Amino acid sequence: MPEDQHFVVVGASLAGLRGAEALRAAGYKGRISVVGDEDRLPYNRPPLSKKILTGEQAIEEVSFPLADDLGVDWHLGAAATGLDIAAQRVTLANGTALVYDRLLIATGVSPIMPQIPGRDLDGVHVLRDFAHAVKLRGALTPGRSLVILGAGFIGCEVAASARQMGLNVTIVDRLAWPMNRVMGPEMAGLFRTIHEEQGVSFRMEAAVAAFRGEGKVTGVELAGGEVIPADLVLVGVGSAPATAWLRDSGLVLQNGVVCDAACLAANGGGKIAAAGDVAAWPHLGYGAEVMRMEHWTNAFEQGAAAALALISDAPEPYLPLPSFWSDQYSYKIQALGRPKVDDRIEVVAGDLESRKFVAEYRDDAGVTGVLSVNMPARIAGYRRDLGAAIRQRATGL
Amino acid sequence: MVKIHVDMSLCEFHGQCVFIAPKEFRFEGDDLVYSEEVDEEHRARVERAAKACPQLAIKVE
Repeated sequence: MPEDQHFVVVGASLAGLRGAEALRAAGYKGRISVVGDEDRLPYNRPPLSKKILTGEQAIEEVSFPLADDLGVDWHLGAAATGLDIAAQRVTLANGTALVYDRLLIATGVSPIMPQIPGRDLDGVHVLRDFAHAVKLRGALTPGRSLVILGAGFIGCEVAASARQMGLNVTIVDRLAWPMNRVMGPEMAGLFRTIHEEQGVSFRMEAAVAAFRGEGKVTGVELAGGEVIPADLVLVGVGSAPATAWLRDSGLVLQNGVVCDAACLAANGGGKIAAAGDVAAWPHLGYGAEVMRMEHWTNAFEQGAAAALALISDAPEPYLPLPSFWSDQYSYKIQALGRPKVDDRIEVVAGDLESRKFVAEYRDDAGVTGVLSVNMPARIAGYRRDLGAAIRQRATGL
Repeated sequence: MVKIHVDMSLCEFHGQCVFIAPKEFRFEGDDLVYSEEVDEEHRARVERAAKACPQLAIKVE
């Protein structure tokens, strides 16, 4: 790509930063502009639900280190509001217009706030951004009662952090088991037990009817009429791709920005790609199933892959090994692959009783995924083997 | 020489460094061990490993 070109990245978080870094590493010397809606340089989100809340890590320490020669024009505190594909122009909330030669979309996701009465009360929190974490951290005072709506990873991580800080914690979810979607009921049951031992109460298979209070939340009313007292509430029921600014652009939006196998956006004419939580692409290692991943490792890898696809003559399919982790209490949970609900689970190292184990998920074709609890040393080998298997399936070798 | 330091108060044993730079980082039992100094020729790999750490626990000089 010639040096007089302008590469614009919309989204100043991990995927966008990795995109800019990958361009420089590939020798691109032209202009790079990065647009971010928050008034902050890129920072690392995972600590926001863990060590930032408990105070084990200072909030200033989450900024990503930036190379002196990265050479990026930052447009921060300026959300993108529109995209004109024909004019190759992105407009920002502050009135700026950026004309691009190549565009990487990495706007991530926004937390979903369900239409529950009382959702605007003080003390009802979501957690995604730096500002959310600062606000939530300020409200986590020992002895207060926290009700968490949603038993996914964010909810369970905040529950662990809040219990460590001496709050009373109740988790409410419509589903039967916490973190079930990724771990299966057997492993989810183990984690429910761990949280219960730490003093967390669960109200599973329960729907929330309303948040109660005058000006400030004081309780969470369940569908049956029961009210759980609450000094604060965290809503962690999932996220939606941040694509509102692309609504009239002509790009294909369907649970994210729809891309081809190399992360180039449909209808983007080869000049637009998407990466990170916002990108939906057919994964050729999984039968071209369209995937969207909300995990750190994917943002890290896809940011680079999508940026390079935009300056490549022959973009390669993006073939990541799904990979995620969670830290709760003293438990380090790591998972690889893409297990299905009816896969067989076999503990291949350690044992469930000691809560230190590696479990393989298998179907008739072999290992589909791996879950490790407090045995991180085993994961590197699986990362290599499962990654190789994905590339083999994709190339049909 | 390239100097490596891992802040073990931040390390959560994700093992990304072990995967990317197995010569410099490895697990021994449940511990992460790493080379504190390596030759300049390995700098690129070590820096890739540091960048891939989700905890930002690895410093390379």
